[in-house]
Amino acid sequence: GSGSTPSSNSAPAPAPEKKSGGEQPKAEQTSQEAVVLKMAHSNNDKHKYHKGMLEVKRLIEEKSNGKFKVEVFPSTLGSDKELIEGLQMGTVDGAIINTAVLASMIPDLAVIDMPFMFKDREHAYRVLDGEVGDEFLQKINGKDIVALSYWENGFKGITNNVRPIKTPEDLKGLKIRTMESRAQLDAFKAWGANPTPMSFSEVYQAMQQGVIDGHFNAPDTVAANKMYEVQKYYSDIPLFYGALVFGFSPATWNKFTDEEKQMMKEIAIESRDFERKLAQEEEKAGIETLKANMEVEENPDVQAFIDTVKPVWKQYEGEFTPGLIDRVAE
Amino acid sequence: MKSEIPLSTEPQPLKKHSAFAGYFKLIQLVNMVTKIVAGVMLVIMSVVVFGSVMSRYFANLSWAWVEEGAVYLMIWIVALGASLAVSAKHMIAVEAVVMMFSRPLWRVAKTAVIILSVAFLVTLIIVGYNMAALASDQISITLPWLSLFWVYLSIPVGAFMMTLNMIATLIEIWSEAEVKE
Amino acid sequence: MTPIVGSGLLFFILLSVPIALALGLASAVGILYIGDIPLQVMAQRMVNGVGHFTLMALPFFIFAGYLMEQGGISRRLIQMVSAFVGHRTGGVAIVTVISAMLFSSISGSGSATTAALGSILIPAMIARGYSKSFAASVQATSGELGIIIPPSIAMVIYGIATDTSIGDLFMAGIIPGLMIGFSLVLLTFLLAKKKGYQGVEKASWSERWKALRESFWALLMPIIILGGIYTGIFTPTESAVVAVVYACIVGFFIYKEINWTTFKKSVNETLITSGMIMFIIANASIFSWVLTREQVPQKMAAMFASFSSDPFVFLLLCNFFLFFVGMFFDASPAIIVLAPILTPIALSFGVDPVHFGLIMTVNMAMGMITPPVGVNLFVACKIANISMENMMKDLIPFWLLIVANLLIITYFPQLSLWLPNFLKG
Ligand code: NA
Ligand code: NA
Repeated sequence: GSGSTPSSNSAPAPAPEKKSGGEQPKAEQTSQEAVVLKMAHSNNDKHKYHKGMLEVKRLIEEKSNGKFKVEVFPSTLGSDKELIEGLQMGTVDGAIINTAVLASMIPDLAVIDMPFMFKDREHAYRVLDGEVGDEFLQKINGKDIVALSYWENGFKGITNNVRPIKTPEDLKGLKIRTMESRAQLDAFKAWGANPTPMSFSEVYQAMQQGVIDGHFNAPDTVAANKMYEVQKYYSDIPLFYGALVFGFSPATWNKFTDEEKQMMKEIAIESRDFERKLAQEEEKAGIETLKANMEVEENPDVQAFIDTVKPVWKQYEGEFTPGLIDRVAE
Repeated sequence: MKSEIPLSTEPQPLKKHSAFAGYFKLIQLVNMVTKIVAGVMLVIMSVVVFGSVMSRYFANLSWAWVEEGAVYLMIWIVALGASLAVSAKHMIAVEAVVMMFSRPLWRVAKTAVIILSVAFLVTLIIVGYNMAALASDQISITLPWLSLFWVYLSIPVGAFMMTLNMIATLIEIWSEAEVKE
Repeated sequence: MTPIVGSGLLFFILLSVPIALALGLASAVGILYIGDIPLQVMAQRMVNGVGHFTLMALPFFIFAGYLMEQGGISRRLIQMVSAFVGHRTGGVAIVTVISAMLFSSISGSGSATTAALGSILIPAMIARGYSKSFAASVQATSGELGIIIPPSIAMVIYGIATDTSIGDLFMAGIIPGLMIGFSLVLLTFLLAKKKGYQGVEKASWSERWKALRESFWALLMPIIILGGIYTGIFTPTESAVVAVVYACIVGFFIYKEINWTTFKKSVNETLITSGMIMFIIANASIFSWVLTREQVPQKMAAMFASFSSDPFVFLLLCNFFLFFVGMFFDASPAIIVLAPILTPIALSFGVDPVHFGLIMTVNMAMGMITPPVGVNLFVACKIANISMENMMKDLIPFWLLIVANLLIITYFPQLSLWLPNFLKG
């Protein structure tokens, strides 16, 4: 690592004479000694991730009394995969990254993205903020990313254009877009659908033209992308839970003093709670928007979906550390 | 600037210069292999993507690996195709200014261009290999036997072959001069 | 940092460093200047800049273009159009424009359209007594429809660079494309009348019927491509591979003009052309990453905003700027570099991204016939065997017509947006 950290002439920062740094949110003219932290996520600047990162910015700039200046980049700096590499190389100082993508390095993380792995939010938080989640963070640390906390995308329901989905039978024969994920593909096969992997940039039009019948996503994402314009039905089934890891580049992290490291750890937790709360609010608002624009099925037969997909858990058991699925499912 | 779609893209035969004949032979061989490998990749990519459209529409059947696999093939096709473009002298460049130079000055400018290009490409070989090593930890999600090392390796390999072809161009520029003088 | 990277890029380009490598070199300079970024990021950006499934449309459309040329599809289109309108005043020239409109609906590239049709039509015009410069001008100008009428490589690149729906862009190109095409027909007719260019002998109805029958498979192609997209059989990206397979089948089994040798030639030319264009994309994605990381687009947007807040003025400035860029740059590299920078600014002025994509595309199409560097001019001059200076006199009316069309397209967004919005219902 040839000193890849936030810019500035690494002068040992003799407490800048700037008074309270919290006064300049539009930090164009902060003191020259301010250390710039470039922090990124892979969604647009209206997304909850962006709002969460702006909270991180506020907290860091306020708590460090202006020593740090945070620049938040939406998808412009790259996808999740590129952000992983960015943290490892030190081209990005901090980021949130989807666990599904981190699973390309740490196969165990894919357990989070198994269908119906979490019954509800409490379950997800208990596992991720507990022992299992800690073990995952340790593994991520082993891959040159200083991982500190779990944010969330939330539970993803299913949209389509053919019929309301109440039971797995209703999915029979429908072409449903999945990500490039074998587990998602197998889950939809188990439910009798025709899973169709497709990049997200093509999904809207593919649903409009009928290349696919539907896809699954968090309600706020469905609403934000105005997918109700091209889809008739939404089923509020918690098919998959989406989580993200908040972390720093080791190159950046190692430049922090011990107090700063402690501060960043606290901020990781504070911003996590902020973002999770936001995710819940946006989910509610998203459902309301969907209700106004499409037919929303609020009481699907969740247990039937879980029962049909259990064999898929079995199928993937061998890919994880023995006993992991049971520990997560409890 | 060369046309976006070349009218005739048969690579001009490399100027033979006694001292470098062996080098040119080697390059021709390398380019021949590149052409075959990349050509096969292009055909596979077409068949796979077309096949997935057909099977989705007619048989309601999709494979998770098609997009990722096709994209990785495309990345390699670009790396290899770019080196073929260098060998066929089909890289787009703005020639308007250097065309106004005298012949000797033009040759100096062209030499500078090649030195700069080679400097960049050699850097790419090094950092590209480092990047591939870094990415070797990542496994393709839909093709679990494939480490991303092999995807990123396209950059140093392509840069290496472009370097070989750039050097050949340099030799041509100067051997042409010797013949004239 | 911006002045150093900017002037570095300009210096490398003027020194005739290939544009791809000039972009890479300028980015390397920027990265070294910033100082805290490992150069490894260049390799990372290259792989990820090229690694989009949607970008696959590019090599496929290029492949399909070569296969259509080798397979006799372009020749049959020309024969068919000629049988119907060839006898009119300025007949072959009008055939040129209308064939270009048809060919554009299956080809994604402007210079490919010029080359594929020009190699047949320019000699035909000259043989009928048209001046070389007039023949070259008609062909070069109508060839630019290749990137305006869908499918279009330029629009694919714009769509990827700015996250805009490629399907919407394609649809948005139809009405402006037809408008430019028909205004070209009219201008060609008037100029030919003035110059006294006669039509060819009128074809009989049986000859017309025969030409129509022979071109049936060629005419079916746009229907399959656009029809397939809009009935949900495949996505715009996938339509490109359908074009490849269709051109292959027609060339191998129906017209029987493609054999193993010509197929290999098409593969080879596809590798070279797409390698060249996409290597520019790879390097441009390092370049735009460096600029983004240093927040250059935001700074530029602030600059634009301080200049004027009127979208009318902004678009006029954009057109002037793109005109200068188009003098020297090819459509694809210009869009790759500029779209991610200009489009967010256009959005902040309330311009629709699809409409802005059309403005950029038409501007860059105009660049193809704007000296000193214009691919269509090069291709047409080479076929007509004249120098570029000698074709200027005849080119000017055509060029002015495109300027007029561009301004109409710029200030009447509905021309572009009506069709995609209508199709969305
Ligand atoms: Na076209
Ligand atoms: Na030009």
